[in-house]
This record gives sequence, structure tokens and C-alpha cells, in this order.
Amino acid sequence: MATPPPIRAPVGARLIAPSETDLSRCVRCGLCLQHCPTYLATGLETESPRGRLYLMRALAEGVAQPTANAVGHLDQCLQCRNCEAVCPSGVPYGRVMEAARAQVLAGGRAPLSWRLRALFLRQVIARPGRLALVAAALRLYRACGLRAVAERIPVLRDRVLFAPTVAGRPFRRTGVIARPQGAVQRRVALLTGCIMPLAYGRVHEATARVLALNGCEVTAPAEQVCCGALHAHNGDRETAAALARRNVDAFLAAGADAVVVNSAGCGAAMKEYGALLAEEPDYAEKARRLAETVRDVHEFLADLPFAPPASGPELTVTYQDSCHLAHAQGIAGAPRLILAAIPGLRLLEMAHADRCCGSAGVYSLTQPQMSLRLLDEKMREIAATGAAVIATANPGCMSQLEAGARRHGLRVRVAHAVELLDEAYRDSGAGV
Amino acid sequence: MARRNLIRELQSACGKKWVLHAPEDLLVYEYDGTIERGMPEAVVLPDSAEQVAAAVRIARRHGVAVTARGAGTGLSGGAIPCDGGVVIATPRLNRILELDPENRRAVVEPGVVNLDISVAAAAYGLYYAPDPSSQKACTIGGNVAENAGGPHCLRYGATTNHILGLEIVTADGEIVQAGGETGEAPGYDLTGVLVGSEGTLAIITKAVVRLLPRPESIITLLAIFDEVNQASRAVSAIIAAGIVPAALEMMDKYTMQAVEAAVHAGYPPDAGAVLLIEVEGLAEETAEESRAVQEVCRDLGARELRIGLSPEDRERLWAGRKGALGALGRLAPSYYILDGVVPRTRLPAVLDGVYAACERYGFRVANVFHAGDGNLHPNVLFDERVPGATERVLDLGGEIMRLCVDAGGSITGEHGVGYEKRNYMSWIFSEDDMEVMARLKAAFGAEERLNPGKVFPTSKGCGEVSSRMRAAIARAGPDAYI
Amino acid sequence: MVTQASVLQQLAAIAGPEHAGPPQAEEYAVDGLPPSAVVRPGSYEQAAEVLRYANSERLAVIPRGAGTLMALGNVPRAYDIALCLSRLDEIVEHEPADLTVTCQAGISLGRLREHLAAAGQMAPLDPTLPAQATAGGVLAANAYGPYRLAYGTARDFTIGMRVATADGRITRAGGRVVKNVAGYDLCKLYIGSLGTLGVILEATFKVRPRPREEGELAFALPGAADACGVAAEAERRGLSVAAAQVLNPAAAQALGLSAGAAIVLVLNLAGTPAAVARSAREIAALAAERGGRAATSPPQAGAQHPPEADPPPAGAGAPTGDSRAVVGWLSVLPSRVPEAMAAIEASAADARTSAYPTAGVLRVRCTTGDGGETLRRLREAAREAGGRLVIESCAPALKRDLDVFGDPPAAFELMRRVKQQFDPNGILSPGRYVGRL
Ligand SMILES: Cc1cc2nc3c(=O)[nH]c(=O)nc-3n(C[C@H](O)[C@H](O)[C@H](O)COP(=O)(O)OP(=O)(O)OC[C@H]3O[C@@H](n4cnc5c(N)ncnc54)[C@H](O)[C@@H]3O)c2cc1C
Ligand code: SF4
Ligand code: SF4
Repeated sequence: MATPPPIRAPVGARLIAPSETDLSRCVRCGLCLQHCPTYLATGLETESPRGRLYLMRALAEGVAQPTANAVGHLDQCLQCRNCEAVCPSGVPYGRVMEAARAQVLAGGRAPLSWRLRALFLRQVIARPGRLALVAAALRLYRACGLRAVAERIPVLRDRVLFAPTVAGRPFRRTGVIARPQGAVQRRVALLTGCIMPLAYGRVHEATARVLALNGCEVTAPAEQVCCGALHAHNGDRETAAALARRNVDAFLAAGADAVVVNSAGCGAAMKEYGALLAEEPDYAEKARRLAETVRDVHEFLADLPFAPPASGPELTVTYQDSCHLAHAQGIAGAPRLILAAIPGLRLLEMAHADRCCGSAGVYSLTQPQMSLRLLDEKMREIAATGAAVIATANPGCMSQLEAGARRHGLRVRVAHAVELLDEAYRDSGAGV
Repeated sequence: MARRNLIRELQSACGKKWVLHAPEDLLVYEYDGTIERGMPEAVVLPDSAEQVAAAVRIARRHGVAVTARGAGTGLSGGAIPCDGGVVIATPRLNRILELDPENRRAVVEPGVVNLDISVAAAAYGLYYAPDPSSQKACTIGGNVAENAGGPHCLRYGATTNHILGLEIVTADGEIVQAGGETGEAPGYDLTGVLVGSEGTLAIITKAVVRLLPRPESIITLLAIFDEVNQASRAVSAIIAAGIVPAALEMMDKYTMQAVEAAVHAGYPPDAGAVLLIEVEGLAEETAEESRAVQEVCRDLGARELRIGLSPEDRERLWAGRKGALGALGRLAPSYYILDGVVPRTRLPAVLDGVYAACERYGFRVANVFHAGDGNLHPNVLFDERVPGATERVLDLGGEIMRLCVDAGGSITGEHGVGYEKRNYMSWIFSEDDMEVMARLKAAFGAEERLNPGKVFPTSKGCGEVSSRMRAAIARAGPDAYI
Repeated sequence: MVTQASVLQQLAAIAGPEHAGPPQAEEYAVDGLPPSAVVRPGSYEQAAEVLRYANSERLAVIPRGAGTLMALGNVPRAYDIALCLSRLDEIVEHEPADLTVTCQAGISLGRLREHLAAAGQMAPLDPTLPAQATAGGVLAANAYGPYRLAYGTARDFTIGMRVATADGRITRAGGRVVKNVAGYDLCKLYIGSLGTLGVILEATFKVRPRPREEGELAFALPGAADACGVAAEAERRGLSVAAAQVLNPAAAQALGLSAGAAIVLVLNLAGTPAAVARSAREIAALAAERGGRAATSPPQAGAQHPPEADPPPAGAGAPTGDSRAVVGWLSVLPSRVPEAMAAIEASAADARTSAYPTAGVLRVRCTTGDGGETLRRLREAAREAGGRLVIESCAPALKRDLDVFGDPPAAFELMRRVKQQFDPNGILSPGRYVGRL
């Protein structure tokens, strides 16, 4: 009889190693396997949730070392948390993976690529000025036609595909950004985020209009910063915590009824602020309080409930679940409810709508091969619906699906679900 | 050196990418759904029967054992390579090769996930009947090897009743067709003995499975009882009333608590047990049978009855049952699942005995099981990190098995003997009985070359191998072996 | 030196003088070959001891029950002892609420049926088999009839056995509970092995409640495809069909279901009264759609048994008295049943064919005036329809020149090794099985 040795007591703070309780929660039933995109793509236990959990446990115990091979398996994980959503045992997979990555990064034996990634996230993504420069470069890259050329050159094609699309007017507004025509029923604060205002400013504009139409006064607190999701996902919990503290202060100061987030990844991260800062005496309570007010925009609208638009353009739409909305936040019904409420819109479900498109934060950049594979499969399933619009709920997904449409020569538009609602309101002649 | 050659040869037979040998990679093939461990020397993921045969021949030449692995959801340690050696994993053999609605059969590769057959057959109004609770994950190869059952076995029988033929790779690395072209074929029923042989006779590379038409009407009933005893008496009473439902499942208090936390099925927190009963057939039959079942349950003190008619309602009633086992992870870090069978009439008495034994040992137990078949699944909840707990749980498991055997039952109803229960085999089979089984193994030339250390009592333990390998990894660090 | 006298003496010592002796009549001959001794053990131990003795002396043993199914199999290579199990005829255990029954191998189906009927139950060993056939014999021959449609065959409901091995040990396979996966499922191996791997002493079956309502329908239809179509559609809809047979004109005629040149579909219904009534209505409509009309069957004693479509059920190849008669079966994919029926008729003009359409099994009876020629043609026809003709009974003279099971199956080498392991001295029904094992 072999019983595994007990997991060693975690070294240092709970933040930088998965907790024993979390790890031992996996009973290896395998019910998550068929929901994991990387397992489905490879058939390898090493690329499965169960395998990764076991490996992370071995890393925590010191039974396995963070070799290039071992961390490669962690790297291949999309952190889509589909496994977490279906796990009957309630394994908090997302939390475990973040902690395991933190442990590797803190252990001093992390591969160079991990350290560079952390550096980039810390020094660029978390710094609005530097990020704006990168965005400007990307904007130019697309606008001058270089992208179109690069994506047609066979050797470059796959490599450049995932450079994010930056187009349209950036969103720079702060303070009160929208008011209802009538009485203010609710005051909400909008998380504007890091990349979203640069790449998809239009989504913020649409969100603000939609909220205002539904009786909300919308504020964008000027002091807010990047939510820190990408940092946490990649093992840099220190930066994530630092950003979280600033956001807690900024949003609590705004004193809104709810913090509305239109990026699924950011929403999921903010809802977890309580856990992230749980061990910081000054912040634990505040973070928990704030986290309780965080709402995804779809969730918020569905709960209001929102006013159904009177009319809308004829459209066929397929909805791609954003992982961090469907799996991390457990919200799959609300976006569909919103789409279904739009007159003239026909919702055509694709197969495996809740399977990751391969975007997954910076995944498409760090694991382009797997990302492409998932994207290709996704585009086939989308094409099969014949829909003219792909709706989704997260900027990363939008960018990825746009890239997929270009790659597959598919003439579909990619939109945030809220944008479609906004258009329907405008179609009905409702204005702010 | 020898290992290096073994791996090279496997790589040239199956492709480099599909042979795993790094320590961290092998590590995740040392488990299945049980608490056992055993690490292989190499893992190979073949893409065809020919590659399976080649891998078997290579392993044979190197004098190492071969263990087949499906999804690793097994609950008897079956897929754990007790003797190291090569694990042949089937996830890439996951094609449905043929779906023949007219003859109601499908030809599938062993790595096909159970539920996927029904999904594919749904277009023709057909489905594959055996439905282990793990059906979203487990493979047909694993099902065939374990003769997996499921809630609907009560009416439709277990895997063995739904397999028409098999293609196998023998221990000598030969591909052999065992039945399957037509319904009946002259000759010994090799398919029949291969089903349930736990990977010790041959490796399955194809299965011909039977498909059934979907019943016209299905009614699901949930009967809630204050006491376990009432529920188990209701089970016998339903059968005695001449009704054989399609499924007749029971969950007790702890199970309901776990399930409630996982899927919010709406079970009352203070209930002692629920029965989940499904009747299927023509609308006329189900209406009549569901009325009769309700009557029996009420007579035996059911305090509430819920009825599911629409697919959504039925799904909701079932959701709790299907996720029950996994959900137990919410109650304790580890559980030890037993799989005893007793004659239906002995159910109330044996169940009382199980609770009493667990109490004596000081462990909580959650029962979730196929009551209609008398197939018990006591899940003993414990914490494997507490020194000595595992040993005591195993002792308790032995006592519970003894209860089942003494009641005229068996040590396993669907999970297989595997590694865990091999030492209980002698409780139900004599030396002679097992010697005959050994002859069958000899006829297949399998001796100790396929999945060694399983099914039959031996003194060798999986654990020794695993600790040795683990120690080797810790010592050698990164590229431990190659 | 083993002589008949020494064998008899030994057997008498084991089973008692009144239960061992030389064969009294032709009755014990197999394919014309008489044994030197007959023994009727009164206990499992005695049966095992007979085998122990035979094994040590390399004497050929052929187990038998009531002898109704002895025609099946190749001509034995040798035959010293007829091991007759008729004295082992008790019900060992029957707990109605457990839905299981354990009985000794020599019990007749008639008695078993009666016993279970008293509890409102039935063992699905096909109710059409002759009442005197024994449980053990039915298992060894894997005999079944049209009720396999609803209840499956013995392999589907036999859950345990006691078997005496060739070297005379009493062993157990399976158990007495309805669900059990401990150890190899050797029951499957023994079922249909025709007494070549061991001697079945006892068996445990799953039983089921008797249906509350039964009924029988017969339709004359234009062609076999129509008849098969009706049966398939009825099964698809889940109607209460327990047995189905498609009869060619000759077979229908022999049953008194005279329908001219038409194919006859006979269906037996079982279920709740409401379900049976609705099924009968829907089936009549289905048949009408395909140009069918009701065919009247002769009055039956109790509607629950389907007409014994001559020939008797598969495996039940009792000697027919007619030395030119050939009885056989073949199994094809269900979709090819009409094709197989046509091919059979083309090769043997007087063939009476009855098919179990959704199982793809066809049973044939014809006469061969031309030596083996008709048989050869029938075999060819079976092959073309993707099946294999197994001859259940024919004249021993014809049998000698052929393997009644046809060409060895793909896995024959494995089967040979199984036989070699289970009966290394080759004493059990030697030469009778597939490939003359
Ligand atoms: C949550 C949960 C619920 C479950 N519910 C049920 C249930 O209701 N009923 C039930 O019967 N079981 C149940 N099980 C047990 C398990 O799912 C079954 O035993 C299943 O058949 C195992 O399939 P697998 O693909 O995971 O096989 P594995 O665990 O990978 O292997 C099981 C055995 O099969 C052998 N094997 C696998 N593939 C092949 C092959 N191609 N050729 C030869 N041998 C092979 C292996 O060597 C091993 O001995 C459950 C398990 C879990 C975790
Ligand atoms: S579903 Fe949960 S408990 Fe089961 S293997 Fe996956 S992570 Fe572990
Ligand atoms: S997070 Fe997604 S990719 Fe990672 S293990 Fe879970 S399901 Fe697989």
C-alpha cells in the first residue's frame, strides 16, 4: 500500500504556495478531464487539471522539481477554470494554479521566460504610460497596413496573429461619465482597466450608455489602476496585491452601489480581492467589502432588470462564453438573457460555447501553438452556426476571435454583448 | 541503459511525442481514482491497434509488464502499474469508427468516452445504455475491462450485456478479433470473459457495442425518507411488488450534504435518505409503475415525493446523484469507496452493520449506491494525512467486505477487484476456483505480463515500486532516467 | 488395463451400483456412437469423482441432461462414459424478493418453470424449449428461442455456476448476487461450450416477474423485408414485444398458419394490459401500412407460448427421426435477414426458415436427398449473407465429413489454448466442439 507522504507545511506566506487544504481537495475522480481544452487537444494526463494538480502537489511537497518540463505543464494551462466549474469536489483550481506559479516564481528556479513575463507585466501592463506607448505602436502597426501584410506572409502568419488589435478612439474619461435622463436610481463605478480603454474604448462608451439608460449614474474613478488579474495569473501576486490595494482604496472612495466590470477577467479578479488580501490586516476587511459589490456588467443588468429594447437590427449572433465569466464567475445565463431580449436578434448556439478560445490573458503570446489549435477549432464551430456576429464578454476573447476571423477569412463581426444591447437601444430611438 | 533502449524503441513505434519518460510526466500516471500509487517506467499513447501491438511486443522483449489505462477513473487501482513497466494509455484511440443505426451497433475505439457514444447516437434516437456515474469521463476500454455498471444496470444489465465483440491485442502482441461480426458466432465466448478481465488478459483495441432505442417515456421520482432503514425497506418492497424500475438509487445523509454543497439539488438537510427511482417504457407502463412506486414509498413512510417528467426536471434530480462521489471531497480530504454486493433482501441488515462498523472505528461514512441491485458503496471519509488513518480505514473496509460476503454477496459489483480487493478474493473463491481462472490467463499467454499484481492475491505491493521510483526522482532530480 | 468391466466397477463404487451400468438402449448414443458406461451421480462430489477417475484413466466423458439437445456438435472422437446429470434436479435456493434462483443442472425446465410460476416469476430460459430439457443442457448448448428479443440469452441472466473441472474439482464461477465482477466471468465461457471445458453442476439465474398480460399476433406480409421492418419499428418504438419470428411460407405452412405464398410475422406481446393493448393496435397499423393482413394461428393452449415454429429453437436439434433432415442456424446482421432468407430458399427449395429478425438469427430446416450437396449450397448462401451456418442436427453419415460449426473462427487459436488449459487430457466431449476441439 502506497500512501503519498503528507504535504509539507507550506513555507512562508499562504500566498506563495498552494495550501494543503486546497490541494488535498482533489480526489482524482477525473470528472474534469473532458472539460479541459488542453487535455482534449493532447490526451495527455500531464496537460489535464488532475495531472496539473498532482504535479503542483508534488512541487509543493518537493517531490518534483520545477524543471523546464514541469513548469511547461503549468504554462500550457489556460487558467480558463473550466475544470473548476465542473469539479464536484470544489477544488479551487484557479487559486491553486496562481499560488503554484507564485511558488515557482518565488523559488528562484523559475525559467527565464517566466521572469521576463513577470517583468513585462509589472513594468508595462501595470504602468499606464508605458502601456499607452505599446498601444500606440500596435495602433500604427494596424493602421499603416503592416499587419495586413505580415499576416499574409506564410512564415510570419502564425507568429504575428495574436498581436492585439488596437483601433478606434481610446477611452480616457474619468469622473462621472454618464447620467440617466431621469432620476438616478443607482450609482455605479466602472472599472476601466488597462488594455480595454486603449483597445476597446467603444465598449466602455456602450457600457456607460446602457447603464445610464437603465437609471445609473456611472463614474470612472480617476485613481483606479489595472486590476492585477494578469499578474496574479502569472504568479506575481505581489504586484497583483499592490494593484488590488490601490483599487480597493479608489473604488471605496467612490462610494458607489456597485463596481461594474465589463471585462470578465477583471471582474473575476476583483471578486477575489477578498481572498487575495485576506492576510493583510489593513486591507482584509476593506477588500472583502469591496469585492462584494463587484458585478459583471451582464450580471448587473440582468439583476436590475434592464429595460428590454423596443427594437433592434436583424442579426444572427453566436455567443462565446468568456471563461472568466462562465467558469470563474459562474455567469452563463445573463449574457444570453440580454441577447435574447434584443428584438430581431437570433441567438445561434455554437458547439462547446463554454470552451476556451485560446486567448487566456497572455496565453496566446506565450503558448501560440496550443492557442492556435484551440482557436482553429473554435472558428470551425463558429462557422458552423452561420452567425454574422460573435458576441463575447472580455477584451482578450474579442481580440482572439477577431484574429481567428481574419485567419479563417470569416466575415463575422466580433462584439461585446453590451455593444449589441447599446445598438438595439439606439435602434429603438432611446437616447441618453 | 535497458530503459533507454526501451524508450527509444517505443518512440520509434509510436512517435517521440507520444512516449512519456520524464519523471514529472510519469508521476501523473501513478494514480487513478483510488488511494493507491504506482509509477510506470514509460507511458505510451498509441494511435492504432498496430501501435498497441508493437508497444506490447517491445515491452515483452524487454521483459517489462504492460498496463492499459483509459481515463484513470477506476476505483480499484486497476490502471496503476504495480510492477512499473509500460503504461499504454488510450486517449488517442478515441474514434467512433462506425455507427450503424439499422443494426443498432457502433464500433468504437477503447479511448472513446462512454457518454460520447450516446451523444453521437442521439441523432438516430439511440443510446448506449450502461451509464456509470463517471460516464462523462470514463472510457469504453475501462468500462469493458471493469464490466462497469451504473444506475440503469438494474434494468439493462452491465457492460457485459452490451458488448457484441472485441478486437484485442494479446500479451504476445497479436491482434485478434473476438466475435462481433454478427450477433452469434460459434466458439467459446471470449468476448464474455474479456469483459471484466481488468486488463489482465488482453488489451482491448476495438469494441462493438449495442445501442438501444430511447424509451418513449421516462419518469424520475425522488423519495425522501427520515430514516435510512425506511428507504432500504422500500427498495425491497418495490422489487417485491413486481416492479423492476430502470434505476433505483439511494443516497444517505452525508452524501446529501456533500451533494447539496456541490449542486444545490434542494435536498432537505435533515432527511435520512433519498431514493432516486426511474421508470422507463411506454407511457402507459411508466404511469402505472410510477403510481405503484409512489404508493410503496408512501406506505413505508416517505415524507416527500418529487416527480421529474421533463428532461430538465429529470436532469436536476439526477445531477446530485451523478456528482455525488466527487462531491464527497467536500466532506473530507480522502474517502475510501467500497463496492460490496448483497442480496437485495439483506440490504437493510447489512446497511445497519456498515453504519455500526464505521461508528466503532470512528469514521464517518457516506452511502451512495445502486440499491436496486443490492450494490453498496459505503464511502469512508478520512484524512490520509493523519498517521495510521489509512491503515485503519483499510481494516474497516475489510470488515465491511466481510459483512457483504457473510450475507451471501460479493466483494465487488462493478469497480473490479484490481489491486485493492485482491486479498479478499479468497473469501468468495476457493484455491481451485482461482486456479481455473489462472488457467484462463495462461491460455491468453498473459501470466504476469499484463497488468500484474491485480485481481488475484499476491503478497507483492504496488507501493514498494512507487516509493522506490519517487525516491529515485528525488535523488536524480530533473532528467532522472534518460 | 482399463476394460469396460473395470470402468463399470469403478463407476458403481462412486455412484452406487443402481446408478452405474452399461447403456440400456440406443438412448445414450451420440451420433450413433454408444458409450461403454452410463453413470448418474447423486451429488456434486460423485460427479467430480467420476471426472477425477476418467481424467486419470483418460476416458472420454460426455455429460448429458435429458438428451434433448445431444444432436448438436461434431461426431465425438471417443465416448466412454455418459455422465448423466438427471439426478441432480433440485432447486437449491429461491428467494423471490431477491429475484434470483439457484438450481441444480439436471432440473427440467418444466419443473423450474412451475416452481417459479408459483411465485409469479419466470427464468427467461426460453419458454419455448421442450419442458424436459435440463437447465444444464440448455446452458451447455446455449439454446434459445425467439424470446431472446426481450430477455436476452443465457449469458445475459446467468450469474453464477458450479462446475466440475476435467480433473474433478468442484469450482465456482460468479456468485448468487445480480451484480458481481469479482474474478473472471467464467460463466460466459461455460455457456455454449457444449461440455468441453467442464461439467455444469449448478446455476444461478436472475429471474423476473411474469408479465401481467400476454398476447400473440400473426400477420401475413408480402415480403421478408416488410416483416422485418414491422418488427424493427415495433422495437424502436419500445412496444411490448417479447418475441418475434419471421417465417417463410414453408415454415408458416408447417405451423398451420397457411398464408399462401406470403411471409408470416409472429409476435408475442408481454407487459401491462394497457401497454399490450396499445402495442397490438400500433403493430396492426404498422403491418397494414406494409400490406399485411392478420394471419390466424391455430388455437394454442395458453397464449403465452409462441407457436413452436418447426424447427425447434436454435440449439434444440433433437434427432428428428428423418435421416435426411438437416436443422441449422445462422447469424447475420439484422439488416441482412431478408437477403439471407432469400438465399436459403434459393439453395434449398423445401427449406423452412424462421428468423428472429432483430437478433439476426435464422433457423433452417430442410431435407437433403443429395448427400452433402444441399448443405454445401446452404453454407455458401450463409457466407454470402455475411454469416456462418451451424448445423444443429443431420445424419451422422453426413456429419462425419464436415465440421458442423463451419470454418474455425478468427480467434480459434485462443480457443484451442483455452481447451488445452481446461482439459489438458482431452477427456471432455472430445472432438465435439468448434474446430473439433
Ligand atoms: C466519480 C466516479 C463515479 C463512478 N461511478 C461508477 C459507476 O457508477 N459504475 C461503475 O461501474 N464504475 C464507476 N466508477 C469507476 C470507473 O469509472 C469505472 O471503473 C470505469 O470503467 C473506468 O474507466 P476508465 O476509462 O477510467 O479506466 P481506467 O481507470 O483507466 O482503467 C480501469 C481498468 O481498465 C483497464 N483498461 C483500460 N483500458 C483498457 C483497454 N483498452 N484494454 C484493456 N484494459 C483496459 C485498466 O488496465 C484498468 O484495469 C466511477 C468512478 C468515479 C471516479
Ligand atoms: S473534477 Fe475535481 S476532484 Fe475530480 S479530478 Fe478534477 S479537480 Fe480533482
Ligand atoms: S484551467 Fe482550463 S486549461 Fe487549465 S487545467 Fe483547468 S480546464 Fe484545463
